[in-house]
Amino acid sequence: MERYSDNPNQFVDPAKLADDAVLALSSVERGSQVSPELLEEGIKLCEYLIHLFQELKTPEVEREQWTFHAVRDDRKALRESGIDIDREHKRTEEVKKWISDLMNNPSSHTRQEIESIKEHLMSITMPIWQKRTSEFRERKMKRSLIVHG
Amino acid sequence: MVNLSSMVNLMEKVLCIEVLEKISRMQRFLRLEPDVARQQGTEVLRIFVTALDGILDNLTPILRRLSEDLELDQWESLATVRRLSDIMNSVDELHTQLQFIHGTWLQPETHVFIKSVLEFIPEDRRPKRVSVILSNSYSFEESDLSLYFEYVLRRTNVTIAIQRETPTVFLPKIERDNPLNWAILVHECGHADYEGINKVLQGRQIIPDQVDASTKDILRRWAEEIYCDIFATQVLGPAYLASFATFALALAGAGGAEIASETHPADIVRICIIREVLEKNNLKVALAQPWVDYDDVTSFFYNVLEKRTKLDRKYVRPMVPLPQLPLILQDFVDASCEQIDELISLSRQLTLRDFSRIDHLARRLAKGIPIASYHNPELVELRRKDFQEVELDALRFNEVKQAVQEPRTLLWEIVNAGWLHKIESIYPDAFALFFTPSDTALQEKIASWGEELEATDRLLLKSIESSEIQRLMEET
Repeated sequence: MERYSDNPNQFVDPAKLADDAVLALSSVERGSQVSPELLEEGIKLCEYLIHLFQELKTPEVEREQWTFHAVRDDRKALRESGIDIDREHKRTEEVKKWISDLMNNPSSHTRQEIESIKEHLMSITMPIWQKRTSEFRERKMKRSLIVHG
Repeated sequence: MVNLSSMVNLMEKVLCIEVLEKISRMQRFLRLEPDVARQQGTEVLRIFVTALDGILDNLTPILRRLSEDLELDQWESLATVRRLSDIMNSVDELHTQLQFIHGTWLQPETHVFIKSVLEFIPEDRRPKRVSVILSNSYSFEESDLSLYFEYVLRRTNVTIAIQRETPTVFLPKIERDNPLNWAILVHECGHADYEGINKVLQGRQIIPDQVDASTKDILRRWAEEIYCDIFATQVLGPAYLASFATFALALAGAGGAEIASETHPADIVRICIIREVLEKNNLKVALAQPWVDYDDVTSFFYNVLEKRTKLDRKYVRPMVPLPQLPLILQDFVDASCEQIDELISLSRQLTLRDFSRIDHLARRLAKGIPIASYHNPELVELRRKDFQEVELDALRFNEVKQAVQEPRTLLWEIVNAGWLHKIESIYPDAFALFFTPSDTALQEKIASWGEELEATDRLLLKSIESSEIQRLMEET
């Protein structure tokens, strides 16, 4: 996952990976041709999330200073969202496997199952996306507060 | 031909077109800037252009999906909106970097616009002038510039006393030529109505006693914002709602329109207030042909924003502790609206009758004709037979004279007609161009659509200019 890359400029956002993967999965549902790289983004995202869930289950890891800010922010966003870590961890493992199945055989899962993969990818990344856009909004609000007086 | 009544993915398409419009306007701003090439060479510009091309590339998969014209399911819709929101934020960030580009001047029509807005404030409390500054930040703001400078210098332990009461509004650089979005400047001019705002804040109690001091501060700011919204609605009518709703739509992050801040109530609360004021005063601009189920400018934009808001409602938690107690908030909004409506007392009040010419004006814009004045052919026809009479009494003579004259259009008419033209002509053209599968490169499409936007801006600017010339001639 790029978030662990040495070059911070190459970070790819989990919400963007989820958005791309969901659009690709919808094409699979409609029987359209889909680039395998787009589905692979869904797998990369699951792997990253699984890593975060593992860290969230071991509190001492959270204190580690070497982790990139972006990763710490994502972990914090997930923790503060109040989700059931164990349940979401298991579900993410399952979703990862299902996406992998779909890459090999587009008809390996039903429409309802694909729908549930999309739901999982979107809802699990919402806290991360909300945190980031809120920070953007907060910066603008603070500026406005100073200018307006 | 775009089928308006059975349009699918309307909200997503409107949002996408609004984001594309910002990109096109930035491209134009970079092209128009006359001093840049001389002062800084073309390299700086090239970096901006490359960045914008990169942003456009990010839009390609979204455009491809929307071109399929199959309804998005809720997850696709959420994914599309998140991508568009991120792309808009990248345009917003790039807009801040316009600080590296110097030498841009305001259009003189902007000053005419502001002057005309101020005339709605009764003379005894009207500010002498409101300055306008082009801003690097993609925000419409108001500040007393003298107080702001004092604040900035005080942070360095230097105290100065400079002239007070210098109301100033900030217009984002890429909106320089776009009178349709100057509508939000009307709200900002409301902040310069110091006396009006003081009356509201010091009048009958609108802030409940049971809230703490910091909440009181927030509610005071919110009351001022509501005042300015009602002010802008009374000055411009539905055009203000249209402009504000598209701004809120394009800049909505997670929770978008439902997130309140320390400075502003949630956008959706503000839109509801604006809509209520429009309904109460019966101010409406009807569409010639309904879009899906929406048959007027207000319901069109209200419903587009409401659909966007519903999309991520269940995921969003408030980030800032705010006066969220629903009962207090509802009472506060009701009390503020009631009192502001009583106190605002502008020099003139728009009525539905005033809007009778908007439809004709929008049709003229569609034909490429400026709308500085308007000759009503129906009225002329009605009075034509009177010309044939040998003796006309003075009263009827004046009626006939008025019918054949071409009275100037007023600024709020120009802006409302502009918004109607946008919904009826610009959106359908953009939908056909961007959401129909074709081999034309996106860069080519946005360049040709940019020309259409530029032509409309020119028509509107020319209309404001000519209307002002006619006003000056009438005065002398």
